[in-house]
Amino acid sequence: MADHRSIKKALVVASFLLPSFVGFFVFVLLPVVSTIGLSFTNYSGGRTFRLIGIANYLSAFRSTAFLSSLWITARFVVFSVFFQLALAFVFAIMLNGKVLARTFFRGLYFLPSILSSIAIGLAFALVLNPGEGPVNMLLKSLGMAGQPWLTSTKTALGTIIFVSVWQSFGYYMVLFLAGLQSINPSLYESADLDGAGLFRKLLSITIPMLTPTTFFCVTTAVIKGFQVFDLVYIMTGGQQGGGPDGSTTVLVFDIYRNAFMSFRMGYASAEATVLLLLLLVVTTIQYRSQRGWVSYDAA
Amino acid sequence: MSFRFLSRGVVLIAVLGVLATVPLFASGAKEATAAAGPQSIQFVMWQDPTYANVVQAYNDSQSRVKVDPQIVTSADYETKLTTMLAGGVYMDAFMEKRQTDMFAQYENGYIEPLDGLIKKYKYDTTGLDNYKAAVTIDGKTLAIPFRGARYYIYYNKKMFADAGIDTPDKYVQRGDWTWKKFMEVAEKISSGDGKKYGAFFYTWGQVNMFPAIQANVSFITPDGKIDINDTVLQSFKMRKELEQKKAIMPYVDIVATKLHYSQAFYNGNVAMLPIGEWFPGFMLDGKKKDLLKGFTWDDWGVTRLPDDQSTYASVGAPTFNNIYSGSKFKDAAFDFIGWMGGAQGSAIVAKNGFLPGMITPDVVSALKSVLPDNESLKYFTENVPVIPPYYTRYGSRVEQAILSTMQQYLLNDMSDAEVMAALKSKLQDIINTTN
Amino acid sequence: MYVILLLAAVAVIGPLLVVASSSFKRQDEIFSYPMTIIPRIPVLSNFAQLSAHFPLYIWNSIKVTTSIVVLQFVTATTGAYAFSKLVWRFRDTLFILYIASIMVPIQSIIIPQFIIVRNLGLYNTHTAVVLVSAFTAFGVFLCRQYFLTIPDSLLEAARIDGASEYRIFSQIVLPLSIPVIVTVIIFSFRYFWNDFFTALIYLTSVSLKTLPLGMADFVSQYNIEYGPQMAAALISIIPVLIVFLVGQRYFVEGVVASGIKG
Repeated sequence: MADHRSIKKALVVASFLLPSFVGFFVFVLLPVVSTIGLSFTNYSGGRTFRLIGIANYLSAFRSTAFLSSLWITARFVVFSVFFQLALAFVFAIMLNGKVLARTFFRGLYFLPSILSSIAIGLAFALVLNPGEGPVNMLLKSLGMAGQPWLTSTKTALGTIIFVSVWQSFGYYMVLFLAGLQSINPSLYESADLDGAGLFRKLLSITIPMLTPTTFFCVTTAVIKGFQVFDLVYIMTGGQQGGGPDGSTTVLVFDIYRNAFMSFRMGYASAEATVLLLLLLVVTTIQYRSQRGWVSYDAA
Repeated sequence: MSFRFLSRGVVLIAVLGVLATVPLFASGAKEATAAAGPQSIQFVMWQDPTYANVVQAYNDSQSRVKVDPQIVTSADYETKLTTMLAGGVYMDAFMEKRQTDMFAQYENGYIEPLDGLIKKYKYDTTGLDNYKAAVTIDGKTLAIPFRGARYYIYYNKKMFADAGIDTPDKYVQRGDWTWKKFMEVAEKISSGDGKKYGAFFYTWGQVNMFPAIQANVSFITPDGKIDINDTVLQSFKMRKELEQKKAIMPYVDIVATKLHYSQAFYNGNVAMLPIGEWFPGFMLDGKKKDLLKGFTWDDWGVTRLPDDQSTYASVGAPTFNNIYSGSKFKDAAFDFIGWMGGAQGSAIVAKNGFLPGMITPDVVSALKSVLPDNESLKYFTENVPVIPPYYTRYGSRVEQAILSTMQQYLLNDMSDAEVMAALKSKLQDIINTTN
Repeated sequence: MYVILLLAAVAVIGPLLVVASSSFKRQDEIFSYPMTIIPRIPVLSNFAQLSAHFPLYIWNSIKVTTSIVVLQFVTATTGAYAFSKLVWRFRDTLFILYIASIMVPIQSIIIPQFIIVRNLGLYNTHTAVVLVSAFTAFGVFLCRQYFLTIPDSLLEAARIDGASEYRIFSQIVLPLSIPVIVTVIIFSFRYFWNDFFTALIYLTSVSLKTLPLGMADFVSQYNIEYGPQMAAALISIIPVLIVFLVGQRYFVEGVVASGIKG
């Protein structure tokens, strides 16, 4: 009888998992596992290749290009994730209340995230022209110095981070807004009865209740940050981009170049595997620490 | 969810990975059937109206073979082609966009050597011979060029007249059109404040390495040895010096502002533009759309690149077609790519404003209408040796090494020895890590 | 507060205006400074250049993106339910595996994935693009995070009343999750509407091309025509904006949640 029950239970679980799992297994997991496998080979896109052990990993960790791309990626992730989420949170709180024209503002802030990266790339190339671009003209008219933006090794990565924040904060704002909607209004009502102020309600209700959404946003933003490619490719000069002087060569850009320009697909797979491991560690830390700060139970 | 789980999982996944890849890659191409009537062949090419015209003309001209073009977006064509080849998609022939990719494709067994077919059909190799270095690996002919390649100096006569300086073709005639002279002229003609530039070097590696390439510097030899000399340094220094004197636009500005060389030349404030054989097409377009500023169609000309060597050579790699080694209809595919690179195909390519692989009287008369004067036509169609830039299996990585070293040099204070050491270490790394 | 909102609005609008105005400019004017928002010589030719194929590309994009979104809805909600509201062995392990799969960038798994798709006979079909896109783990992850906030006590009560899991899923959990479902829909629509790389690799026939591929038509070997690209970018915003505006009403109006929850 117990057996029968547990089989039935397993079938229920399986039936819920099946729709997502079949496709996931074939189109996502299998390719990922293959990539990990290829990282131990000298694969270059041909029909034959051979196992070369951990040689790809050894040359990766000896390569200044790889190490510097890791460092650039890390800086990109830290700053872009922080500013994207901080702005998203602030604007979500503002636009969740009764605000004039809030639909307009929400739609407007969300707009950049639906625009194609090609268009964003051109718009910012024009706006940030170091000579007579409108932004530098504005800065000069305010008595400030014009910036070199994408043309200096000191400011190029910062510029890409700025554009990524511009592009994505509205996206995370919408996620926070959806999260805010899941908060039971009665919580606020009873807090009102207790005479709690706005700030107090934010700290003791809004932020704790938003933690599941925040967990998702942080995890997603970190993953997307580690995978940044489009903006760098489009804003710094396509296949020959990543400059000036390599200052914006992020990891995935290096992977792309190794795989599709240098035909070092085994090596690129090793780089991708390192990225996977890094993200797994980061996510596992987040996942374990979430018990400390993420509260799932609606109080 | 512990780290122990992680490490165990990783080992398991690694083993699975190796197992999973084996059957995946074992399968090959197996579509394609022979049929009655004209033999249909699959030809992978990127989107370009000119090339579509050529294919159409071929299909119309005979009834033996029918080309079924697989037209791929031009943006990132290389990535898609690589994936198609690795994924075993059936095709008979394909167009090569980044020429040095042919080395990897050949090593991976995707390219059919053509020597047998050339002999069998007694193919006229005139066009081929002009670009032998660019289509030969290990002594085997692997491709047939359908578009020639070489760089020229395009110049704005009006700016030279205004400055009261001889146009570049005069120096060519006098035999002192050296890179030193080029720099002199560029500095003289520029206004020094970024309003008028003496020249415009675009952002590609080869455009910034002419003196070295003309001196036959290969950067890395086919057997994996570093091959650089002072002409490399000279090329780096030329760009830096001209940038500092504001005689050319800075590299980083061109990249960041997405300024295209055609736009720069149309604007009428660039006196000399070293760029490739396709540029007359841009000039035609500029004339048609009324984009030329401060000068007219009669005010531009074409002449040789400067050169410090005893015999003049230009730079460039032709655009060519390859036959896929898995093709079932290699004879039909050869019929097509041979035609495209031969006299008939060349005439059609020329009509579209491009320099074809083969220069015939027909081609010269077709090109007349896309050039401003006979002097330009003479230089445009003269038969000179053309050196393909760093044309080895290391090619695309060499390009990256050149560009990154150059950016380092342009943006920082580096001594001559430091620049060369930086380039050397990058090249050595390429040699060490190429399988 | 309105000062902040307006300042941010200006910062957001600026580059958007540049895109919009560029789509009415000739290439030479796009790159001329000082920049003007109102074109000196306004042209419609950029839009005219789109007319030939773009209705087809838009239709293809709608078809492909809608299919992906519908599939994502099914896979994300059912998968998330299994990962949040059912208890089974290896649940957390498998979940981390799920998340891990999105950590490898598409550029590095594309060749193995392509080989699988080709062996299934799906190369150069819309089905290929739909299938490889519909099973990414973001949807499952997002829904799971939301489902976790639905109190288990609610579900237990239903179970004691003898409701099956399917019934609980469809009649309790789904209705409570409209904001997150709308979010998943908006986000997958947005993402896959603009997805260039997958479409590039899996589609070849002109008749199958989607909008992002169509936009790339204006990139040729030696040139990029920005005007028509900006025009296409402008047009391609519209469908996503409609989905967003229709969808966002669901989480503006506070949803139906209050009655059942808490």
